[in-house]
Formats: sequence, C-alpha cells, structure tokens
Amino acid sequence: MFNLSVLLQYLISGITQGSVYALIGLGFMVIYNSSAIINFAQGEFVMLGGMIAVTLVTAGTMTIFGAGLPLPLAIILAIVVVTLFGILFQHLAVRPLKKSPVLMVVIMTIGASIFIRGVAMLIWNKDSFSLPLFIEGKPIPVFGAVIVPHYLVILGTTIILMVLLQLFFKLTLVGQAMRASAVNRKGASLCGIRPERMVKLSFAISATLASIAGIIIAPTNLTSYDIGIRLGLKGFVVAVIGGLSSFVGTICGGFLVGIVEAMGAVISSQYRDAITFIILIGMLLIRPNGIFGRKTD
Amino acid sequence: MLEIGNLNAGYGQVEVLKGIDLEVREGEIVTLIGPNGAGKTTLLLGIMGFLNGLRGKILFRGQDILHAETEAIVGMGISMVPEDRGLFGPLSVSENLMLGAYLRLQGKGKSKEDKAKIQADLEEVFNLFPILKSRLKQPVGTLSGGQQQMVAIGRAFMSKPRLLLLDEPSLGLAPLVIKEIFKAVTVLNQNGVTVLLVEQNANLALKLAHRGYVIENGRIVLTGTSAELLNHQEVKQAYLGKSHEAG
Repeated sequence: MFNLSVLLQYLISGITQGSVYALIGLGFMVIYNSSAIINFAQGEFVMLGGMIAVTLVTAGTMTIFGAGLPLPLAIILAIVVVTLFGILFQHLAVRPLKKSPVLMVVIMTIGASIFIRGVAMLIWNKDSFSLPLFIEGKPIPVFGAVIVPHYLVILGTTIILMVLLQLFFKLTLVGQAMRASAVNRKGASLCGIRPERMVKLSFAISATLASIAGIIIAPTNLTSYDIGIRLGLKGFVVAVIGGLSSFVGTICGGFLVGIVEAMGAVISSQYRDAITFIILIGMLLIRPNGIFGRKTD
Repeated sequence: MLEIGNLNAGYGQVEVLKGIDLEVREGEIVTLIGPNGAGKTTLLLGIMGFLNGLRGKILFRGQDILHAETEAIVGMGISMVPEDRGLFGPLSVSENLMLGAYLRLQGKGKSKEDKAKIQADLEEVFNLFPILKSRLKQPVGTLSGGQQQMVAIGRAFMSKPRLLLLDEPSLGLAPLVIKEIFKAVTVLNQNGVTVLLVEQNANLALKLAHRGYVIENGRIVLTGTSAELLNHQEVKQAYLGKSHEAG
C-alpha cells in the first residue's frame, strides 16, 4: 500500500514545512524570553510578510495596490514593513499594558490578531495568492521522490537564520544584553542597558523571523488573509515543545511537528491538523515544560 | 561627590525617607547603618533612579540626578551592587563581567585603546578576586554566594564607576568570605573608587568606612567619623551588641 518513495516525499515536505514552523516558534520564544508574554499575533506577522510581498510584486489590477516591484526588492520591503510594524505593535499595544497581568496582555494579542486578520480581509479579500518561485529548476530526484528546488531555498533560509540568531545571542554584545535584560531587568539597568529597548528589539527580531517565514512559503503554499491562524498556532506548539526557552528544542520541535503532520497527512489529510494539536495537548499533559524546557514556569 | 539634601521618598501613602541629608566626598568610604526597614535600600534605589515620587536634592559631582534615568546615572559614573546582586544567572561569569562594561563597549568603546583599557579592568577584577578566573565559563547561578558577590562587585567595577553603592554585601556570607570582600572594597577605594556602603553588620561597616550615618525610620539620626560612631553609646547599644548578627 505505501511505498518508500511516497513516504519519503511526505517526509521531505514535512521537514521543509517543519523548518518554517521552527522559525515561527523561535519568534514566539524570543518575545517570551524578553517579556514573558505569548504574542498570539505572531501568526499574523507571518501572514503579513507573504501578503505584503505579494502585493508589492503584483502589477496590474489583481490587488488594490499592485505595484509590480522586482521580487528581491519586494521581499526586502515586506520584511522591513513587518519588522517596523512589530516594533509599532509593541509600542502601541504591549507597552501600555506593562503593569497588567500577563494573561491580559496575552488576551490582547489574541484580539490584535483578530483585528489584523480583519483588516487584511478588507484589503485582500479572501483570495489566495502566491509568490513566484525564487529559483527555477527541475525537481531533483531523490530515491524515487523529488525535491522541488524551492524547498532547498526554504531549508537553506531557515537554517541560515537559525544559525545567525544563535550567533547573535551568543556572540554579539546586543544579543547578550538582550539575554541579560530578559533574565534580570534591574541588573540590566545597572549595566546601563535599557530594558525597554531590548524588548522592542525582541519584537523586531520576531517580526523579521515571522515575515521571512511567510515570504519563503508563499511560492509553494498559497497565502491568504487567514493563514496566520494555523501557522501561528503551529508555531506556538513548536515553541511549547522547546519549553519556550530552548533554542535547540524549538528547532527539534519544528521538525517534529512538520514530520508528524506530514505522516498524519499520509493517514488522513483532513485530520492532519487535529493530529498536530492532539500532540500539543498530550505534551502539555505529560511535560508541561516541553521536552527541552527548563524547570521554571 | 554625592550630595543629598532633604530627600523624601514614599511608596504610595507611606513615607519611607524623611528629609535625608547625606554627603559622600571623593575618595571616602561612607557607611549607612541602621535596622531593617529603616530605608537604607530605598535610599540607594533612589540614588540610582529606580524610584518615582522622589522629592529633594540629589547632586552627583554637581549634576542634578533626582529625575535621571538609571541607565544615564550609570553612564555618569555611579554603579550599584543591589542586595540580591542582580546577576544574570544563566549567563557565564565572563559574560556578566563584560556586560558591566556595556556602556563602554558601545559607541566609543570600539577603539583599540578603549578595548585595552576594558581588558585591563578585567584583569584588575581578577586581581581582586582570583578565584573568578577559574570560573569564567560557568553560569553565575551555579556559583557560591560569596563568589556571586565577587562577580557582582566585579561587574559594577567594569563600568568604571567613580562612586560605588553597595547594598549589604555581607548578607548571607561566611566571615572569611566577608573579610575577603571587604578587603577588595578597600583596594578599590585606594585605587580611587568612592564607596557608599549600606550594611546591617555595623561593626564591620564602621571598621571599613571613614565616616558613617545612622538611619532609623527613614531619618538620619546620627553621623560622624567611624571612630566616633564606634564609641558612641547608643550606637554601641543598638548596633554593636555582642555577636548579634542580624539576618
């Protein structure tokens, strides 16, 4: 019934998707580490990345703002816009709630995500869009399955970003200052670090990661105003598997969810998402701190 | 160097500091002693810009810092080691120490000269606390209390302060370790760092310091040279009792 090459095909797709989930999950982790909140609007940042890039690339009457920019420029602009939007979001929506209980802030982000989705629907309707493939080329045969060249772009991008992120936090002064500020705000202030700035930076980084995730999947997956719900939730699942604290754990979680989801699709494409979320629930029941999480809450 | 005049501070309805007058001159070690809850920590937090609702005067080297931001105050040359040390637990000893030099490493800290100076200061920290050299890569949270205190003081030193505020450095430490730490503070002072030391261990504090202030219920009740205070009747009774170590 199942032959190896079909399985391999699903596996390749799963790993590729998984790397994107890992990227989104890292976005959750960065914000959580710096400000102890879950930003449930993260998925919308992903959606905005792809949608804005599409809008900038498209010429003519397909969308309201068809601008027809070259792809690389559209991509860069989309990333910049979403990053700035992330900073603005922190300044306008998160910062005023500084003294509120964490749960209230989280609920606010859920509300924000609904709002952003609503505005997106007004701008882009419920249509689906996609970006042109970044590189052309024939699918590469691998043991009876094929790898679409764009999958390599996705994997390459996510891996490079993960490495850069790690290097940033471990080796750069600002990265260390961010880690420090997340661990002890008062101590950070005493070193001359401005915690508020570090929090804004964390939102900027998360938004950048999210928008890139949204952009790189736009060629092979369709993007529309509501892809943020699924992607955001799956990214959250991945972050939870990583205990919201472990870099490696989040990445493993990403690939785990990606592969499980692909295998679930083998079983039933309708229940694919259900399978993923059942895993999340199971995880939270067995190990509330995630597979790789630390003991603290 | 530090002039505090008629300083008042409160949390909500409660006035914690009432009309504080205090002075720290360049090169001194001044200690502030008093019972728990007297306002010692509050005063230090106030100086460092952590409190709202401060009224009065705080001048540092002539500049008014009453409403200044903490990060700016650090930049002006005041460092503080808080009671809980304020360390970054998961980060290594060397990362903690280097972050003390954060402001120096930014901006103009890029030249070879500045980097060399920072490196020299790091060596100075290792001279003061040799044991830290063998613990460089360890997460600070895994160190003993005394070693953490060393890292905290070292980190504060790395911002090249003119004035160092210490909040109860002896808290929870064994006598031998306290001795080592206080010796290091003496060396720092001899090398040009002015010190304001808040301590519950009045005995040790007065032996270390040149001058002292006694604070009770938010007010300065007594001040003098440490010799005067050590021999003062009320101080002896209240704070220098036989082997009464608070906390």
